[in-house]
Amino acid sequence: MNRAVPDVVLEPGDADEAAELLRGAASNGLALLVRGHGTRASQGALPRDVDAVFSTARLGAVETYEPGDLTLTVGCGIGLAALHDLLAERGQWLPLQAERRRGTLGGLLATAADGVVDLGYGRPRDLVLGARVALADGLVARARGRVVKNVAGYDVPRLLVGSFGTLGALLEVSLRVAPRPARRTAALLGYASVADALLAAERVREGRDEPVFVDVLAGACEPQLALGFDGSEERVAGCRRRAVAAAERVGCTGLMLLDDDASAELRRRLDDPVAHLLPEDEGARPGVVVRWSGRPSLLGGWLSAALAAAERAGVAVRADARPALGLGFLGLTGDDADALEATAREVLTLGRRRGAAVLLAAPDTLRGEPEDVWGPPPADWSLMERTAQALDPQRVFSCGRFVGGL
Amino acid sequence: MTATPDALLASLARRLGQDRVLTDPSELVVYEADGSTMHDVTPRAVVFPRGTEEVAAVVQACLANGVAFVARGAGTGLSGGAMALDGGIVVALNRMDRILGIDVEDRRATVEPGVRNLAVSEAAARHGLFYAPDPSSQAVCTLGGNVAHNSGGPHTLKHGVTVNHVLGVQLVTPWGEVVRVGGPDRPGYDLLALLTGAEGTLGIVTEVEVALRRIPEGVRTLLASFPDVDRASAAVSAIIGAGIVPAALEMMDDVVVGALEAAFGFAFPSDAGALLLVESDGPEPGLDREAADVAEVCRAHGALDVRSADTAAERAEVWTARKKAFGALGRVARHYYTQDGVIPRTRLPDMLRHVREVAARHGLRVANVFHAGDGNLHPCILFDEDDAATRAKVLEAGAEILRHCVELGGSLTGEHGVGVEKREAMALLFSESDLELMRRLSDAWDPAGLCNPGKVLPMGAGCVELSPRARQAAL
Ligand SMILES: Cc1cc2nc3c(=O)[nH]c(=O)nc-3n(C[C@H](O)[C@H](O)[C@H](O)COP(=O)(O)OP(=O)(O)OC[C@H]3O[C@@H](n4cnc5c(N)ncnc54)[C@H](O)[C@@H]3O)c2cc1C
Repeated sequence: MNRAVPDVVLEPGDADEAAELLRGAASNGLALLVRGHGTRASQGALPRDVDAVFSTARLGAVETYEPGDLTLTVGCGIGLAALHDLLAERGQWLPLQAERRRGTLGGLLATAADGVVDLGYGRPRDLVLGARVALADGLVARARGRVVKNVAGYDVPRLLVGSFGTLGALLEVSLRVAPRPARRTAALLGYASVADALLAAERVREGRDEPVFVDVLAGACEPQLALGFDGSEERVAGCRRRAVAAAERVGCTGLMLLDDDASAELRRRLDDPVAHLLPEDEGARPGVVVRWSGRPSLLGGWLSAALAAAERAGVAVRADARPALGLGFLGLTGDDADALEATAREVLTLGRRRGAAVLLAAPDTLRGEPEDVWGPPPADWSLMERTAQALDPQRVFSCGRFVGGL
Repeated sequence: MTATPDALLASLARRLGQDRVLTDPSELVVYEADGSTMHDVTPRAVVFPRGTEEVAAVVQACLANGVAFVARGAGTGLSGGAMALDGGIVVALNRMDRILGIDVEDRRATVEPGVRNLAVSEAAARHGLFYAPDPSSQAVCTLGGNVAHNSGGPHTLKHGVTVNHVLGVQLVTPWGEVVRVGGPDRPGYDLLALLTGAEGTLGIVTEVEVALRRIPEGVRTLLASFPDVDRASAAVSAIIGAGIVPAALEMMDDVVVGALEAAFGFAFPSDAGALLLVESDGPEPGLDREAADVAEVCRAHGALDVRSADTAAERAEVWTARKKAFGALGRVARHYYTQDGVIPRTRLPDMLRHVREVAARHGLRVANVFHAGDGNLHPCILFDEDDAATRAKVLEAGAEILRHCVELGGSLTGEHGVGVEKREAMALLFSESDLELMRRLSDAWDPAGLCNPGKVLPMGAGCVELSPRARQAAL
């Protein structure tokens, strides 16, 4: 069960070196694990024994940054802190996990990490324009390009986003960036019950105020609705006022309007569901984070059943639900490892009845089998396998972390 | 090949019914080409399946007989994608045109592939919802074709292209299996992204689930005229640079403006060398301010005049003008050939100058009407004589324009696709390794090589018989 990370690290400084190292590894039959800064390495099922790590740490160079075109081409090993700072200097930003400072861009993309303002700006797949990738046999290839609209050839970049490094290594990507909005505010409303908070979220969704996030928070304190608004002073003020009014009518118990600084603080918390739902200041207690996705109308059912299951088992629970996206995150913590594991399994089972439920963080005992983490292979599994067979026939990059043991 | 082709047609007629298999040459003419005007090829036959099972049966029969098959929607594609090469048959999906359901609560629609793009928004409108990608051909083109080309439209600047709105598809794979390919949020590879824009080479889509959005609360439409395209282009960059994301940002040059006036009597400022159509949409708060900011940027960049279309009727007129632009061109020239290239939007002035130079050098007229906010050009080469020499010149001019797009760091196609037309040009944009990666995917997904062969990837010259021709501009 305890699989050690090997000491052999392949760390190319450019695409040519990547190709050479990969050809060398292939001729020696090495199994590889792609890694950036390793901050998301604990995601997915426990990897099988691998022979070496393929690290993107030295692939962080900025190829081209054209602020006028709102495009950026950069090595995937760039740290998120450096990336965010680079863009901020020109009054721009990459809305993906914009408040997160740890980890690399490649890690964010390979895990298709959720960010708090995805509702407003799109998910990682929506902001990727092109990529340069290295396949296991050393083939280095570009796909799509640097311009914001492009249908030349197959969309390989998006195929690799969220592939957990199992098809090939992302070396460099081109991204669509955006001007930093003049104002980024938020509002927090309190409710007597999760059902009320969800209903208020629905009221906001029925309006046309284009919030950049609508999160229902539960568990740690009274249920809350968090709303975010970006744009000009006038846009943000008017939309927030209307959306808050709609949400208040559901019988809210308290309201807090957050200015840009306080809003940034809230966004920092919500940007990383794992850190948010398993707070480190509560000590190194074992914890589990489950991510549910599916039809928005089914979210509430899963969430209340999951919260009830945790309560029955006496396991501490926090939740962050994004009804407009059909997404829910549930964090479970407790000292009783058995109760924690049993509750996690119950929550997953409930979620998989109608939707998808995966583990974003969990103790090793829950991550032994890909099916535990990802659920049963989806209906299009055979097509995924075929795709992996096309790009990595020797399964060099398939260390068993991903869906179906890829 | 295990049976003769005629045996294939007989078995298809048995399976689908004789009236759903066209083989009469006079009936096949319609299916020789799509909306692109430069090539045609006659299919062996055209079949009209009624549902997923029949599509799968057709694909299996083709596989058993070693005959190629190509899906076809409305045939408005502009890169020859729906042409049946290699003696293949056309699988026409335009009769599979039922809207299977509109889920208001979860804001999605499930449709058959032959449903017209506009029909989805029309059906959703009474719920206050719409389907965002809006190709100019939306009254005719189908969702299946949209998925195959990852189609965009004027409003995709803010709202995104097809791939941003597809939640799931039902696919008949190139080996004849029926598979439901699930949303981007089910765990696993993003196969929807791979299929969207694959131009029907990775299977036939027989059902599509798309996201619907709330109809925006407010809309502001501005029409700004400029003395020349350079100043209009600078305004485009400045609007984007100011952090404004209009819903649409479209440019028309003086040739288009003149044609619209001549054809439909649209009254535009007559001294304009270029027009920008800028539309902002979204919540009412701040919307007037955004429109005012756009107008100010336009004036600061030398706009002669900025008008706003205030009533729904005025807006409709402006958009009708935009959407009829190609039709109007058809009245000032007997033929036209539309290119589709992309450049980084700050390079627009350079690119438009190049387009004019190329046209002048070949003694051709050119008109520009395009998605300026995305840097997605549609230079439209106009010509009257339908002879081999003119056609050769037109194709060469188009190729030169594309080469320059690539030189400026752009792309060969922003929305019309590679199809058969730009297949060989792919080698301009991509290295042999890049193409090799794509080939590995297509070989794995289409091992028999019968699913819309001869599209997307270069084959080297001379592999496919095409008869170039120019057709009367009809649209
Ligand atoms: C006047 C005019 C304006 C246009 N404006 C725009 C625009 O603004 N934006 C834009 O993006 N495009 C535009 N187009 C191009 C064209 O309309 C789009 O590419 C459209 O999506 C094609 O749809 P269709 O149903 O006509 O497809 P077809 O032309 O029938 O087929 C196109 C391709 O899709 C494949 N295909 C069709 N159905 C399926 C299916 N069910 N499964 C798998 N593959 C399938 C075909 O094999 C072919 O490769 C325009 C065209 C015209 C003539």
